[in-house]
Parts: sequence; structure tokens; C-alpha cells
Amino acid sequence: MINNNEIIAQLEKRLNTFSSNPKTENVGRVETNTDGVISASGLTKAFMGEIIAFADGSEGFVLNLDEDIVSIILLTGGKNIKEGDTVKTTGRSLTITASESLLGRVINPIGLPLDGKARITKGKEMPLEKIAAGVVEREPVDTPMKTGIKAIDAMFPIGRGQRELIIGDRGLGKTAVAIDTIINQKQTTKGKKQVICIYVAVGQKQSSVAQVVEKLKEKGATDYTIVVSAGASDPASLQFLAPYAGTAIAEYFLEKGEDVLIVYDDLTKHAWAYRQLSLVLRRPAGREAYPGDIFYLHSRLLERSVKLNKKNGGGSITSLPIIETQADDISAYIPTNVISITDGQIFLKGDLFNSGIRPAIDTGNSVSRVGGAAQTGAMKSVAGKMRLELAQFRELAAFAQFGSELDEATQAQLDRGKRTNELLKQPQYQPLPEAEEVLSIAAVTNGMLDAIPVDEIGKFEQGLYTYVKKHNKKLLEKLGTGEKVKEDTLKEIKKVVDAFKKTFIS
Amino acid sequence: MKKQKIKSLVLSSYKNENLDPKVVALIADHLNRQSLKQYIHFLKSEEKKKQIIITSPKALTDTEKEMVMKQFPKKKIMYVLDPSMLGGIRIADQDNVYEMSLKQTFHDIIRHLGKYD
Repeated sequence: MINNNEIIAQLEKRLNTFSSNPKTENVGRVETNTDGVISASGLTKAFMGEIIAFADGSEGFVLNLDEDIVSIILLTGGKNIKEGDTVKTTGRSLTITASESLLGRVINPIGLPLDGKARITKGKEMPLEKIAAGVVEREPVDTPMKTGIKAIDAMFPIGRGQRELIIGDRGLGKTAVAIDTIINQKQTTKGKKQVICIYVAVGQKQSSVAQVVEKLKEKGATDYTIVVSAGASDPASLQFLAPYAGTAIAEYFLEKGEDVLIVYDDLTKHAWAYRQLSLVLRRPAGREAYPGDIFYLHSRLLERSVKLNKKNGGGSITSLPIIETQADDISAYIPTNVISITDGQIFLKGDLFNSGIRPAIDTGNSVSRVGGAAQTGAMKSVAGKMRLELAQFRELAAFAQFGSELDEATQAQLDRGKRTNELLKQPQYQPLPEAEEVLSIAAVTNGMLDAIPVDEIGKFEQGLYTYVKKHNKKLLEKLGTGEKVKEDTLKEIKKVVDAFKKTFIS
Repeated sequence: MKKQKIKSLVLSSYKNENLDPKVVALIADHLNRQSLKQYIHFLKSEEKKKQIIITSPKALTDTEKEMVMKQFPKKKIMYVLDPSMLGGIRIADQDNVYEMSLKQTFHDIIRHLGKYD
């Protein structure tokens, strides 16, 4: 136990340290201020990414170190900076204060609140730039990250620690898929930890971000969600930093062994912001005027998504980066880059969206490279053949367009495909629990819905959920455990579906 | 003209650690406006290398000045008065500034206490 005198002695020692060391500063002089880039001479001890303080109180960070000149990108203010002003290094690199109090908040990439509430000052300073965890600290993806979207959970399962790209033209529901996934994390799977969600908005309209925040509030998802936003009117520097800030916050929770889901909405605008910065910094422009290190920009970001092994806390960061394409062109520069970095992609297509298939997932071009290992036994056993059947259906449907006569087996396959497609339609903001997903997928893949007219499938499905919840709750509980669906369970599902069919038809 | 070339011209403008006016005039005659601007900029920074600026709240005594000169024997020393420092000294050597003043100590205390708001 420390006695009073010792406490006072410690305080006195602390007081002395305030003046024991001289403060060392490295100063410079503003030479030019063009396009938000400040060139300063001096600052010989500045390092890349270091925060530089200006005389008027504004701050920037170093992005170029030349022989005599340091290029600084402004983070805040900077209207009054003029030639000859003094600048000084701070010895600090870019960090963000992370703590549990960030949950439910909307902040900008430097931690300033955007929701009108108090600024978060207490917490751990997390570096925005960090080298990703190495091979020895990781373990393979093996736990599912349920999206609550039937098509994704059945055919392109996502695992905790995976990077799954959501790609498609504008207005096809890319953000909707990500938001549904966040909303779905409210339903905690038995024995699994609550997933903390971070939504990073880059270059979005403030109205769109407000809409997302409102929807999250309405669905009760704000308790476990943090929104980091650098809007379209914010400087390119903030838009460039936003995904790194989101990841730094995610790493704070990762260190505590938590599972985190992070959505980058979207990396196309992030690449635009970086291109803008690079051009004003006069870095050599490459393809589509992007700088040479545009691949590294995204690879170093997404590499920070990780599934740590038990020895390192066992936490995970799952990322859902979003890329916007032009006219479904996934072979453009940024889309191909991010496709090659991620562990799979969910491709949303315009013609599917317009024909009423929502989510408009193109099952042929979408893939999940590592999520299969994370799929639950229940889902795997019922959805295994679904993707293949849908691929065959698409091929047959193309031939059937020519109007040739079809044999019975082909017609049956076409009919089943139509029903499967219909079943995979799902309204926005209504993610489903795994038990309900398994129930409907088992019903369609085992031909239990073959007698239901295609346009009645949606209605039938909704009715079935209500019926099962009322009459056979045990079946739902059994399907929700994630265990493989065995023959007797299938029989039970058939019995329930048949019983409901009678009431539905009558 | 390339930066490196201008820098070498700056170095050759010195004779016995002092600028040679004849050489400087000759170089200036042969440079265009842009290069001359850079030449002046590099001359200034070269001069700064030989200079130390000592800032204090009140004038230093002769003994104190002697102590400073002993520390920086080859440098030209400039003395500046800044009463707002309250106490202590600030030494500026090119772009490195070493400060040990009462004003800075108060700033540190304020920042330290600010953490516990």
C-alpha cells in the first residue's frame, strides 16, 4: 500500500518533469499553398504521415518528402495560411481515439463528432496506418458471418475474417446488402459473440449517410454500430483517411478479442480521392490518371481484415468493401484490383434488378473463395446443389427462349429454377434468421414448392414462417442450431410444408 | 537550371567562409529570374546554417553570452528579446528549436490537465 507521503512525492516528481527536458521542435516555413497542398521548407526531421501544426492552429499531415520541400495535406481549416508562416512538426502520426463510447456515434476520420454529441476524448490512440497481422498470428476462416440474405448465405457464404467485395453499378442495392448485414448482426447466433459493425462512408452525399444512420436507428442497430463519414463536401484528405480510420477503430475491438464487421462504402470514391491528392502532389499519373501505388492503397487496407488465432485473442475483422462499376464493367482498373485483393465478390447486375430480382445478385459471376469452410452444416446440406441447379437453369432458360419443345425433365428443371429464383428474392431491411433461411431453401431444393405457382412463392414463404413459428417452433430451433439437416428433419420439413400447403391453397 | 547545379554555385560563392561579392555578381548576371530566385533561397539557407538565434525574456549578461559562444564557437549568434517567454531560453539552430521556458512549462501543464477534463 502506498502511503500519503509517497503519493505526494510522486506528484512532486511529476511536476519537476514538466520542465526537466527542453522541448525540441523542428520548424519550417510555408513556401506555397496551392490546391490544399502546403509546400514547406525546413522540417528536416519530419517523417511520412507526421502531423504538422500551422501557426493558425490548423493541422496537416506529410505526404511527400522531397530534398528541400515537404508537401503537407491539410486536415482542418487552413484558410489563413500564407507564404512565410511558421510550421512545426508534432512528432505525432495520424491516430484516432477509440473506445466503447464510439458505439452508436457518427464521427469523421479524425474522430470529431458529426452527430452533435460530445467529443470522445478518452480511449486508446489507434494508428491509422498499421502493418497487417502476420501469418503466424492468423488462423483460417471458420466461423460464419451471417448476412441474413438467403442468396448470399446459401451460395456465397461469408466467414468472419473474410473480405467479400460487393460490386455493381449505381442504384442496384450494394449499400442495401451491407446495411442488411449490419442489421442482421442484431440476431446473435447461439454461442457466438456479438459482432461490432463499422460503416465507413467515403465521398457519399450527406443525405445518403443520414438515411443510413436513420435506418440503423430504426432497426435498433446503433447499439453495436459506429459510422465513420467523410462526405462528398469534405476535403479529399479526409476521404482518403476514412477507411483507415474505420479500420483503426476495428483494430481496437480486435485487440479485445471481438469480432468486427466493417463496410467500406465505397472504395471507388476512395480511389478518386487518392487520385486527386496524388495529382495535386504532382506524383506521376498512370492508367486512368491513378498513381502507381493505387493497388497498394487498397491492398494494405484490406490486408488488415483478419481472423486471429486463439493465442492472439481470437478476434476478427470482416470487411465488405463496395465498388461502383460503370455499365457492369468489372474489368476496369479499380474493380479488377479490388477483385484480386478480396476473397470473393457479390456482383449485382442491372438487368436482374430491372427484371425484379432483388437482391440482384448475378450468381454466375459471384463467388466466395473462403466462406465455404465457414458455412454451417445445416446450410451446407440444403444449399449445396442450389448453385449448380441455378447455373443449369440459366443455361436451359437461354435455350428455352427459342421456343423449341421441351421434354418433361427439362421443363421440370426450368420450373424448379423459376421457383428457386423467386424464393431468393428478399425485401430490403428484412434479413432472416438462419432457421428460416434453411427452411425455405430446403423446401425449394427438395421440390416441396413445385406445386406452388411461381408468383405465389413469396406469399407462401411468408405464410410458412408464420405457420411454423405457431405450430412447430421446435423445428425452427432444430434448424437454428446449425447442425446438418438429416433425412428425418427433411421429412419433418416436408410434413410441415404439406400441412401449410393445404391451408394456403384453401 | 537544375537545383543541384544552383546548390554547387552557392558553395562556390564563398571564399574563406564569406561571400565573395565579385563571384556572386558574376553568377547573378548569368542566371534567369527563376534560377536567381532559387540561388537567393539557397544562399539564405546556407547563411542560416552559420547562424544561431537565442531568444530570452531579458537581455543575457556578458557571462551568459560567453557561455553561449563557447557552446557554438563557429556560429554567428543573434540575440532576440521575447518577454512573453517569462523565463528560460530558446535556441534556434536552422530548423531545430530547443526551448526550455516558463511559458512552455505552463503550456505543458495546461495540456496535461486538459486530459482530465
